[in-house]
Amino acid sequence: MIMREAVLIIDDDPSCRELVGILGQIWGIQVFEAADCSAGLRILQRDKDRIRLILLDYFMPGMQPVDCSAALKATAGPSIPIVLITAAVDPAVRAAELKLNHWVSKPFDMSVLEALFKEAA
Amino acid sequence: MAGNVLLKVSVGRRLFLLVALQTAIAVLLVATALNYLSEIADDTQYMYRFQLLSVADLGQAHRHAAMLQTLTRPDAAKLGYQAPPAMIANLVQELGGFDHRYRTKWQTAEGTSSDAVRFRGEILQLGMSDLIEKEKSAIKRFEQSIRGLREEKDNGSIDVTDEIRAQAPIARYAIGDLLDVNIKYAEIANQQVAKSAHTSELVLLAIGLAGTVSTLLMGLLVRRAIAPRIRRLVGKVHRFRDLGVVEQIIDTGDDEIAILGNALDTGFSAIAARDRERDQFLAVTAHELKTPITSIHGFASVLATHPTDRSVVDRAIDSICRQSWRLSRLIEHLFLTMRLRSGEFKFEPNPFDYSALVLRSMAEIKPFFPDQVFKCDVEQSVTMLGDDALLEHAIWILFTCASALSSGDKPLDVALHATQTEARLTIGVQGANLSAHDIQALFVPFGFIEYERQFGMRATVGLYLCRQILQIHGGRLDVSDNGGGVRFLMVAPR
Repeated sequence: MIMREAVLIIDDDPSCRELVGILGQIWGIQVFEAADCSAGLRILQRDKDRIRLILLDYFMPGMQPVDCSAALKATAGPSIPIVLITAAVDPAVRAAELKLNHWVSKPFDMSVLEALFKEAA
Repeated sequence: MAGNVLLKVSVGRRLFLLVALQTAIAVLLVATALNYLSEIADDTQYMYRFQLLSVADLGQAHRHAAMLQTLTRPDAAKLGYQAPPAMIANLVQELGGFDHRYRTKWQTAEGTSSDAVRFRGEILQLGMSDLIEKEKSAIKRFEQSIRGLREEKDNGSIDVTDEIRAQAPIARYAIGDLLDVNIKYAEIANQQVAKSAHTSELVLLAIGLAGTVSTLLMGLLVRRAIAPRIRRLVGKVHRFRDLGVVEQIIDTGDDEIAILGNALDTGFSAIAARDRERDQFLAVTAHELKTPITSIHGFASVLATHPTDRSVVDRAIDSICRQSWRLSRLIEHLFLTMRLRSGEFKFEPNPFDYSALVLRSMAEIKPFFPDQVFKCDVEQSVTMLGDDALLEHAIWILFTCASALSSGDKPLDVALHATQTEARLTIGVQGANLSAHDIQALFVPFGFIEYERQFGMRATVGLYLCRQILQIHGGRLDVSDNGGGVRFLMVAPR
């Protein structure tokens, strides 16, 4: 059985990436950080077997959000859930646009993220 | 149908037509009334001239004839009447004079005056030619008697003879018949005048009624062409006020109401567009505000739950400081934008080091874009007179916008150079591109930009406030796309 112990955060906001990284450190979960989709895809291809969850921001430089989401889904496969994490006022609409079933609205509570991390284990 | 035709006519012209119709009717009524008054005056004159005076003269002649008959009676002497020949001759002369006047002035049967011709026509039209025949007969008898009387005249006197006694009653009876005929004529003429006056009344009444009805109909047509459209406009205004829904006002006319409808349409669309812009601005602003709040909230939670973990405490405090600064900058941006929109923008100029301000602003923005390389060519010690707080904010907006446009893998070229009169700050974003529409959208009040180019999707507030700050300083802000990238040029007078 593969042990997926890591989470991938793709967000151009370094502060948000840092926060998720620290939270992962506290909860004992490794966090891979990517500032854009291309970097995230590279990490995913490299460590696909270790990643249990992908947190994806909406507004980012690089690829279009829809293309980014599609590429991540294609690479990750059905076993790795992708969760939209965004400060947009309409996160549900944005998630539907990216064909994602789950989303977290910024600012988020630590417990929400902790539950997500652990559910995906 | 008429209402539809009226749609093609302007409201002013419709009202003019209505007033013109009313004026025309009033003029027609006055003209007709004046005409009838003139006719009534003519009839009155005619009655006096042709009917009353003739009857009066006939009465006088009848008196003379009666006197002649009395004075020439066979028993006149017995009765105490004296008949001097001169008096008899005078009476005959009076009757002769009357004969001449009657034939030239008042005779209807064969008279040639305009009054006689007109009245004869009316008599014949009424089928009363027997009266004319009766007049002819009486005139004939009177003239014969007058000729007989005149034949007895001798040197200005007439002696009473049997012939005189025979002719005097004939003359009196003939004049009596003429008097009867003329009284009948007067009655007929009076009836004709009364009938004419009645006709005048009816015509005036008909014109007045027709005018009133046509004015009413015209007014109804004008009302039908205007009132429903006004009601529709008001209904749409109410719906817009109550529901905020813009319903296009379709008015097929090309008059003032249609112009008003189009103006309302444009106004409502502009208000709705402004509302949408404001909603979008608020959405982007909320997004921009939530980003630092996410970090502040998250790191504060970490501090609360792990206050002694030194490996996270320092990073958390540092992040909270940076994000708090960013948050305050965003709030300042909102505050300044609102003050600008409400006309309460304060401008407090003082001398300051512009070079230091640019470098400080760049240093503050860098942590938020750690992967972004800034190529810096800033001339040292460029001083200028201006509101440094406002300019600092303008530079922050410019850096934020330029960073949002940047793909991140190419440097931002920052340069500051000064002349004697102005300082020029340029920021070049290599590889970025903006269409003319995008550049225009950057300067929309409360506008925002959401880029969907090859750089992916970014959102940030626009440059409206930045440009306004530059304009207050007498400077300008230009954005241009040179094909290889986007260039921001901020020119401020020194």
